[in-house]
Amino acid sequence: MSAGLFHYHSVQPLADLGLTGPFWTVHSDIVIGTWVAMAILFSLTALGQYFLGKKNNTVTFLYEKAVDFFINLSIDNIGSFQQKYFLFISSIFLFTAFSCLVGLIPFVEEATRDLNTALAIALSSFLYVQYQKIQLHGFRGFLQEFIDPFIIMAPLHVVGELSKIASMSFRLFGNIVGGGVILGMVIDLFGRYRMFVTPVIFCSIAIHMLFRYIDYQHSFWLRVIQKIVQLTLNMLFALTWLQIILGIGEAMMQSFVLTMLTATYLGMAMQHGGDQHPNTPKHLPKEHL
Amino acid sequence: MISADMLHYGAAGLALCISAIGCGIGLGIAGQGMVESSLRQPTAAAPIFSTMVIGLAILESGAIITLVAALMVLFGKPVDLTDTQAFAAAGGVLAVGVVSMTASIASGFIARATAEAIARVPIFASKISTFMVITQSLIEAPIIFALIVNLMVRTHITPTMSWELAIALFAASCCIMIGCIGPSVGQSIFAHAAVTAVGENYKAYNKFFTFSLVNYAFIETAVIFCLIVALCIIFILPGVAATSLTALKACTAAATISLGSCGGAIALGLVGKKSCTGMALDVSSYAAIARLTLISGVFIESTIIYAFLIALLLISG
Repeated sequence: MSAGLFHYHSVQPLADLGLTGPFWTVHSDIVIGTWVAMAILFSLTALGQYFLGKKNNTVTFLYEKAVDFFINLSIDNIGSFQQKYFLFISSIFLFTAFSCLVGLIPFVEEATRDLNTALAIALSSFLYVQYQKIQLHGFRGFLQEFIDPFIIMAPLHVVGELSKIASMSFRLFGNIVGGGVILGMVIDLFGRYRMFVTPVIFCSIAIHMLFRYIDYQHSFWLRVIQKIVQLTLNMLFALTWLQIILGIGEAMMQSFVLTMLTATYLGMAMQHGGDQHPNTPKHLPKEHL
Repeated sequence: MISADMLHYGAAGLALCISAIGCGIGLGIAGQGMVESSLRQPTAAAPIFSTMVIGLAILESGAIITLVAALMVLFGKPVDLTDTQAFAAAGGVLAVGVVSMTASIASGFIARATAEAIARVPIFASKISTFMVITQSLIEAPIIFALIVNLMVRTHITPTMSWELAIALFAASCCIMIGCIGPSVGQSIFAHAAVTAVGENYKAYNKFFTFSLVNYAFIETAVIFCLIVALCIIFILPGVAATSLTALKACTAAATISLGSCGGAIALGLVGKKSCTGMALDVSSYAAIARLTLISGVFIESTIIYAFLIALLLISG
């Protein structure tokens, strides 16, 4: 891990046609990571579809809480609720977060460890904002913004817009790589058992939390399991916190920042030009959803 | 006049000396806070004492880590020590020393603020001490990063090393050495305000906790970028045939990211400090203040990211 800081397994699918540049190279483990993230997201969506039909259910409640979170995020940053912005913002958060979190699964790499994925996420957010600007203010209004006070400012505006992409993608990429490198160096100390460290820690945390709700005092084996889990967590105390902070915390934090930035830019794009577009729906109360 | 032996022993001694100065100052500040707040609030002397034992132990760990690095230099002395070897190894151990100095002074202030906060609300001592432990361990994290860089530098040291490669490895150590100063100052400023704010308005503990974790992550980004650039220098440049140009590139990249991250990190700390003070006065404004802080943090951090971008381009180009 540490030796190959920016080393990825790569495949050149079009090598027979003579296309062997860096553009035609596919980083296979990154692609697999993205697919795993998408598979998790699709199964969560299917689960949500199934559970949202039912009433008074814990899972339903959790899903509604998550949706509420995104609705609040979009209202806070954009100023009004709009279905399409809400959908874009929530999907960019979920995709980024799960692309970072798949690194916790053994044999799977974080998709955002590659600059290409981070750049793709930042570019799609940037292009969406530009597209919305054109839709709201027209192409003339979009160009007008670049020569705002006078025409000399145009290069500055262009550089300012382009630097948004750079800062967004490098923030995500740098943080995830840094966290991954530090975690990888610690986990490499376990030698050939390093694949089992992360699953063992997370299973222990899950069992430890489960035992709060189970009456384990009466069963001998349950007590033994509880002791073993506690011993594991105590022994790997520092590593557990490192995993939680660098593995989960960093991923959630970075995807939250990226989402909030997208929402803020969208809000700025909408407010630009003084009056709002007549087609813009006014603030919708949450009950109407 | 400067022989390889002198560089070798001098670096180990100097690193431990620098680290001991920092740790001494940090422990002194923490001890002063402990005694002062115990005198002001004698009924809270017991929780203050039990919290400060943990705080002082975490503070001490900086010097212990430097001791480990210095001992590795002393006992890992090769039989035929060349000048280049001694130079590259000196950089690694000095990095650990300087980083542990700044981090220890920074966490000393937090220990003092914790003692004062406990003196203010003794019934809330356990939560405040948890807050302090997390804060201090986050501030001491750069010492571990410096130790990692030191270990990586030591694995790349060979007897037949050219001066160019030695200078590149020294630049990698300097990168993490100088790059940690700004974030340490920023985190110290912010954490001092956060711990004081928890003492002033302990009912808002949960909000302060999330808010400060987000802010630490922001400030820590600067250190992580420095670490990435240092590791890039160590792992990418030795693969290329070392010329004076690569050494120059390494030095420039290290200077770019380490100096470029200082201002941003301190600015982030100052912004966080103000918002903590504001939140302690009026918790109902939490959402608005947190959002404003986050947005301004994002814009401040863009400067650090540009430095990071240029440093990466310098190394790979």
